[in-house]
Amino acid sequence: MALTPDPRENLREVLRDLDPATAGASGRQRKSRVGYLQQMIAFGVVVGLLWLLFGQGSPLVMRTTPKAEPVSESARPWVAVSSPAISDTLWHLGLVAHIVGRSPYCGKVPKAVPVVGDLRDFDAERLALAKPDVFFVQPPLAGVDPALRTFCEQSGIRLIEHRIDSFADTRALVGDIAEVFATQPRVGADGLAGRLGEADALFEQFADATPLSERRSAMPKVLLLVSAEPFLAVGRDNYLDELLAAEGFENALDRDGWIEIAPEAIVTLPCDAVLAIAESARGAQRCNEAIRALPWPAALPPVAVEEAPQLLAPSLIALAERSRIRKLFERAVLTKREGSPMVPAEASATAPAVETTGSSPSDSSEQVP
Amino acid sequence: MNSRGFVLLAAVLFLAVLLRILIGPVSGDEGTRLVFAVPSAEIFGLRVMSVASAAVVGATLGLSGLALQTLLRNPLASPFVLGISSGAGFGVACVLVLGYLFAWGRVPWATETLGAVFGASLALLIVSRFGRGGDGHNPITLVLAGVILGSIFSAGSVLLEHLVPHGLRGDLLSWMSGRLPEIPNATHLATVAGLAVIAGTSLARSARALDVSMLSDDEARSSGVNLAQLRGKLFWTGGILAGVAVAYAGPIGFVGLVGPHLARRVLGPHHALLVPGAALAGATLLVAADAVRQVIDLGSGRLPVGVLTALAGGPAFLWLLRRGAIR
Repeated sequence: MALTPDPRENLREVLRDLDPATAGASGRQRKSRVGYLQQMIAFGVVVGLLWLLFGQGSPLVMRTTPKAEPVSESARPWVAVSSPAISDTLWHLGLVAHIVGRSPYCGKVPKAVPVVGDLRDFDAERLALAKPDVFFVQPPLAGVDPALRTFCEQSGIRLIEHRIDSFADTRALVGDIAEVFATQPRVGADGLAGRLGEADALFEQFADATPLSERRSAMPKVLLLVSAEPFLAVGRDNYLDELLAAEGFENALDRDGWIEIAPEAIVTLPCDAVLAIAESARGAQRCNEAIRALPWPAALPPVAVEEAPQLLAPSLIALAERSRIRKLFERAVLTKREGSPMVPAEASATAPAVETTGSSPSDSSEQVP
Repeated sequence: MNSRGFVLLAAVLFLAVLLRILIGPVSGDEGTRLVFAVPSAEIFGLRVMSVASAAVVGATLGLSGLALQTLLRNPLASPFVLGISSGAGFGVACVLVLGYLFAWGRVPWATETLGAVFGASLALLIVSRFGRGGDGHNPITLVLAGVILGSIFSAGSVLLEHLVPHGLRGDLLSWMSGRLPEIPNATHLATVAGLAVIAGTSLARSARALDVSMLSDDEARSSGVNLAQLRGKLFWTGGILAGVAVAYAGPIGFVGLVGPHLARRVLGPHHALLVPGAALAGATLLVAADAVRQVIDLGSGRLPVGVLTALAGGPAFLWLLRRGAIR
């Protein structure tokens, strides 16, 4: 772009005036340099503080990365997992000692095991350091990140991917776990074969208990919620819907997936009970209060809320504890029968609690017998 | 000061690169801990690629921010503040949803990039039109329009999420948080780097015209500058670079704002220096943020790099407001 000859000095002056950093006399320039020096020092101080707070040796880091039990060669094959459904299944099979990398949501894996990724992302460096033989991945619908696939190929890590939406997927996962661990005599000696047999029996019982779809319309209709902020209900075509059916209930919702449902839709939905499962005791309490606060047009249906994180991932644990759904329903009906009256919306804050139970049948660090 | 400024910027970038390469976790009997040491060859390779990724995205965002600040004569202009990153994100979300609805399978990155560039250009066009005051762009109106537009595009992206199945929603959500590809696809990285080099070269060649364009329109025209042509170039440079950066790494905030300002303070207002300086400063910021996030270990995996750039860039934005950058 051509410029006409122009007084360049004038232009420089104008530009200096435009920019406060270089404007004016040399005194101001010196001042600017001093200010710049101060900013650099401040930056250094901030970096130093961050290092002190979060760096090596800080109490925060020591708290979050506790001493791990050394993973021995006898614990081969080493595996990394990207989802709680997979880690819970490994835990149920007594294989948690083989896990050398986890996702932040894997509650059954000791916190000392490094986080190497989650459902959608992965930490290449920590994965390389963990040196797993196998990486069990639950990919998103769009598929495994091609970069992860390439990385695993180059690093000699076997990538096993499973979308786990139903218990058929969980069964396929267990099959792959069995195949991975089959060549390890030490693992077999520890009783893996027996536990795999038990898992197989669980799947068979589950299949036998699942009624044909035409019979389901005669079963009690249940609305199953998993969150109250917002109300998130279990629709069709997922593992919790399968659990409901196997326990003899018809899902009150006839849409697929996980449905964010409006309060007015809940109160007008024809159902025999409203059940809710939550990740934590606090979540269960909130769910309970939210359900009670709904403007029910008639009597409050039987309601029961329970803290049951183990049901919130399609793992072997969820399958093994499926009877909790029925017990929850029975508790709801019992509570209703024993005289829990209809609770008007405005009285919800002071209303007695609907049956809410906390449950933690097993400590997260405890291994399955 | 100028040559020393370049040396200073290069030295800080070198320091950031050094930190990123030397600081990292090691696994041992005492759990995972951070050490400052030369890594093994395998880990070194990973870290070098991560640095390359951060440097290229940072430089691209820095150049994009500079182009926008010059185009709009507004020190607060940047892809993130003006809603251009959100527009690019909306463009990518549209492409992903279309890919799902028409069963295209995995959408090619080039298609995602086209969507991002389209969304970024659309956002820039709208914000530029709505931010116009009596005689040119009003800085406050422009920023407000950008904030509102960013909200609208973000809402649009959330709306699109509801058109896809539950499993795919998470894909969109995670993409919108912004992340640096650590094992970059070489073609993608080369494309972004190539575009940044082309755009940077083009801007540097117009440096004197860019200097003059900072004067009033009349003064610029009387100096022989074809303002319409120059603004067209800045518009497309800002939009395309922002779109490509977003398609590659998701929306990463404030690098495009702080990078050019840092360069301006160190190198002065002349664009012959500012253009490479903004790229250098942007790269420095993102590599430094990537290095710092390696240090922060809260036991739940690393923080997204966008969190750190926002933590650093947000106060910088407020500081700019306080020192009267908006007049």
